[in-house]
Amino acid sequence: MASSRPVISATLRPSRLRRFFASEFFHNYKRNLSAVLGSLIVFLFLAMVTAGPFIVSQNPYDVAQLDLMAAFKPPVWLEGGSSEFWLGTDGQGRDVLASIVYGSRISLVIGLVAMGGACLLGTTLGLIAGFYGGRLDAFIMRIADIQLSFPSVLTALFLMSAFGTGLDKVLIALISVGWVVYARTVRGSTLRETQKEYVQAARVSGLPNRRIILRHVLPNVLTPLIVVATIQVGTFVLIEASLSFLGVGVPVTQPSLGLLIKNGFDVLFSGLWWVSIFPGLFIMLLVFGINLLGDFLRDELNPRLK
Amino acid sequence: MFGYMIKRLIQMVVVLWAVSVLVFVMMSFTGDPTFMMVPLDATDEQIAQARRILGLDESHLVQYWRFLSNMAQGDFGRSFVFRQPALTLILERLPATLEIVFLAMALALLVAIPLGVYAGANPGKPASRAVMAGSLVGISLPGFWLGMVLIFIVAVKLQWLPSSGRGPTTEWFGLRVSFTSWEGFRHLILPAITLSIGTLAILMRIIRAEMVEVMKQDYIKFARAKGATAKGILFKHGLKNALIPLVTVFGLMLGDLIAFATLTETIFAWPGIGKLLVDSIYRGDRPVIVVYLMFVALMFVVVNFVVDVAYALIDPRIKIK
Amino acid sequence: MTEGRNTRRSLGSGPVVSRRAALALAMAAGLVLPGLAQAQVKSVTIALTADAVILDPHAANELTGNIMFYHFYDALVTRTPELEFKPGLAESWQIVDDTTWVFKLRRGVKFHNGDELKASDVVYTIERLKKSLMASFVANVASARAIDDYTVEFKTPKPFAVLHMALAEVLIVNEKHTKAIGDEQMGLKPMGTGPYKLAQWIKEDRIEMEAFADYWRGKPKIDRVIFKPITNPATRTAALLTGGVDVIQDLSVRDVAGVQANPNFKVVTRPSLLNLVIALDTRDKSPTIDLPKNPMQDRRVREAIVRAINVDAIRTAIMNNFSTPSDQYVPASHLGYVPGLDFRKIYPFDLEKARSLMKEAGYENGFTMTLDTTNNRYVNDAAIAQGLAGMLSRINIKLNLNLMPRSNFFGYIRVPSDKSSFIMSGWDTPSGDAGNMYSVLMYSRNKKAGYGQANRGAFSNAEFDALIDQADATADVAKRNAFLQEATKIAVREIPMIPIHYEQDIYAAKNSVTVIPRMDKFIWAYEMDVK
Repeated sequence: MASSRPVISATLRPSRLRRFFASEFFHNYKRNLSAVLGSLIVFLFLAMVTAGPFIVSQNPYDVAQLDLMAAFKPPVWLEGGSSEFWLGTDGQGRDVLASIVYGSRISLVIGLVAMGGACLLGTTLGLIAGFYGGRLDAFIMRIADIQLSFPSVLTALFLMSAFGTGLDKVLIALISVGWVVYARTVRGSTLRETQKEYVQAARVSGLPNRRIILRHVLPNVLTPLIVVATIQVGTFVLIEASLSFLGVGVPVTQPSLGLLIKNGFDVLFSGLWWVSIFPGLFIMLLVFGINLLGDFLRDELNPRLK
Repeated sequence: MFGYMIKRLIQMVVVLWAVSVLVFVMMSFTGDPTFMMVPLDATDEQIAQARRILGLDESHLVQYWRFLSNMAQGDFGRSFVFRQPALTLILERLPATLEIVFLAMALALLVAIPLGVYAGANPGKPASRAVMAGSLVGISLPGFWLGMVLIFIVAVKLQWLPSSGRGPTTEWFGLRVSFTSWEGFRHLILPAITLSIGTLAILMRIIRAEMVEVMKQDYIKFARAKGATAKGILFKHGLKNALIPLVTVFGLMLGDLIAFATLTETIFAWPGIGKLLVDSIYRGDRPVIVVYLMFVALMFVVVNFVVDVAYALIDPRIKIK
Repeated sequence: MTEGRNTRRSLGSGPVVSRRAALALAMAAGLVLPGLAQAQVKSVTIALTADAVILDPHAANELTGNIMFYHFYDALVTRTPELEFKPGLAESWQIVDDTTWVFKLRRGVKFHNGDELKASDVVYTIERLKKSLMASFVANVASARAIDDYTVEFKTPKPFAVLHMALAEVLIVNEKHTKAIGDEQMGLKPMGTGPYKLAQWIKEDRIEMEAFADYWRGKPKIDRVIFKPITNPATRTAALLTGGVDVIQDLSVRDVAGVQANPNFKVVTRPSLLNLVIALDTRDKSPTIDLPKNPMQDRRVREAIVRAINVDAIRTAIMNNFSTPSDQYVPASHLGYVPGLDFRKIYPFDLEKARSLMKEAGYENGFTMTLDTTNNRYVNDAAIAQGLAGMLSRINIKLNLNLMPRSNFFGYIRVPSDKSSFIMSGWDTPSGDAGNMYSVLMYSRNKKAGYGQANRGAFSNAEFDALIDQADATADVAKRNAFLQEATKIAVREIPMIPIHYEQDIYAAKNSVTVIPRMDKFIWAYEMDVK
């Protein structure tokens, strides 16, 4: 086995890629304007948060780089704007664009990591509940039910109020509200899969449960999760923004887009709109891109849900 | 039916109990609120006395037990800050929240139904695509940020509507409401629009999806074959059947609106229960947070129960068991 | 006074009215007075940053509440806007021996319900406070006893030269009324001897008061006062400019120029009592410093930190010039202030000197520690913290920031402060006496009960402690002042804490309104007038 592996991958890879490009999925993708647009937006965001810090002139959180004389400069196209700060500056002379680049990074990382955590936790619990059934199943699903009777923003808000601010705490709060949807989906699929002959056969043949779950059940319940996971990244970015806006999300030293909006809120009434409006615009764009992609994936992968 | 109600009732009690346990466990993580109440130079005895007054001197378990037994007698605890019954504080502010929540809901239904039906009945038309794109934008934007944009444009720049606060109120069947006067209503408009957007967008998508399904059904085809007019089909057959599932999302909608009211009320300085919650979180006012969450949980459970019953009544195919 | 009685009679009420009738009268007057639209009915609307949470003066100590309390209630001793202490409900007082004071009450002082103020009300107030959340107000009163209806004898647990100043914070309630309505109602229905009566309180919307015609100082000039909570600073400014309100608290710094430019309005500022201070840990090992020995035990390091902090830059850049760099730990009005002594002149901002001090102490390469402070309690607290991090980085001290909402902060930094090395917080002493601050914040920990309970840096100096002991052992104010001044000199020399600045209070008002800003920030309509 071990010796043959390189050969397999060498022959498999190009053909897999080619198969993908020739697939119906890719064919539909190419023809779907919104899917292309969505992935483009997401791609651009990923590029921005990876390369952005090397491109923008200022590290907005290095106090030494800030110049208070440059506070509250309007965007470049308005009177008084400076070509140094395209989207203007905030009350401490921080470049709004640079803040957005750094903030998007924090928002996106939180969204992705929390989604990963929620997916892992939810899938595990869903598999356990679906495969073993019985009391364990009932217990896990009751918790899920109770949690679903509360809007996730409220649950997360409450958790954060107990934890205090912090990146790690935001992640915990988001994972705690996000796992339920995976658990439910996976449990449903697992119940269906375990009825199938091959699983029954594997069980009868005495394979250890863990092996059955990982080898046979898991791969077959994953597809619907792709859609859930995609959309959830967007949802998490929004929830995190809401928490940070209320002052119980990320700490001020690691501002996400939501915290940038909060920081600009107080001066909005005085007409200094760019400090808060631009970060919001970027959140909207990011989540819009994610949702476009999610919509397409849902149509392609879960035709039932169409 | 009776068995079902008993089952739901038990479920309700379980949910509320779970919420209370959770809240108490979580709250033991937060800082001791005593330190916010006593002066900075308080001595140990003074702190101990303050703890005694606030009922924080005993272990969490004892506190929890006291909370439960008091609740059984209808006493839901007293705010550390206001020193008033927490329930009173919430009930006092409830009308303000319900005002924007209901207006937002009405707004969402009023806009989402026609647009959703149109988009569902005419899939593929450019206008339908525009509606769908719009709804996706609605889902993607942070509602509180939209509120800020509205404040900036409508209140700060154009000065058409007030930027925050609640307008003059009048007593109305014992409730303090603001929609009865023009000035009061003007204060309501921006918060209600802000709050409604997310729900509106989701609603529009649900209605459209239902409408697409319904239009594929045989009875619509029959009606068409019989030569019914397009409008007649749409409203008599299509709409009616597309709206039934809406009843089921009512509870969900209400939940979202109440949850997002915390943000909307914070932006617009709207004196409702959402702002009370956020303020109480800042102040570490545990009893108010507990009662808020239990109150909201109770509201959801009751609404979902009513929805289930209503659903069974509307759609005879569904049997409650 | 007579004028006041006439008004009352004209409204059809006898001089003695039951509580309920008084309340009904208050309500009726509230409805009738604006309707009459008489030329002499003066009213003023004041926008505050928040609503009061409770109107029981013995249940809270926060600014909005305090503003309300002093309209409804009075203390035995009155504090002037300049923080001088004058007779209030007490006409005079004398010190009988080191621990005994006798206060003579003013005769004929009326509560809002018509009852006359008696010594028993004062004694009851002290007893009620002792059992309340605000017991610290009477920490220096061992007991109070009515000698006759107009004489109260106070015992202090130890000689306490400034009892009269402490009593300026003790608001007198009516014994009969308070017992009758109970604690919960006391929070909603204030009833005292103050210049104003509560007319209406719509939560989060308005607190309306009307003048108490029988007020012992004479009827207030303004008949109706309305307080409105408006949280957002820009909205508050807008409310003033559009005429909705007459006076606003906390004018946003950004709006100062705009309001000043408008000829119909004026801006009134005054330094507040709130001194923003940083407590430096002086224990052997400091919680957030990863070194075997705490560098800040070395006075040179403490001095280096002081010299690295550019207080003027904080003032101009972060506070928009609306702060006053602190010269000592307490303002000039306080006992213990040393005229001519200026922290800023002794340790001016000087990076070179700071670096060489660090080098001398052996910390040329600096160290890392954490600053604990709030992000929603003091003006621009988070921005100041970030500014401090930038300034200290120049002497190689890497400051991590731990910013908390105040709900967590005060519990977190609580002595023994075993999680903190460097704490920024505010301290104000409206009692007008440095002794309070020194004994609480700088006296050695665990040496004496009631001392050093908030000594977060565990500063300990025997000489300093001895001076505080001496100050607290004398009943003579002048001697106390001398001891406290010596203590101030030691503190400035040893730097247990770094004073940063006093926040500045900014009000804006219509030109027609006379506003007298008070050092204690307690807006008081009795001192105001409307043209």
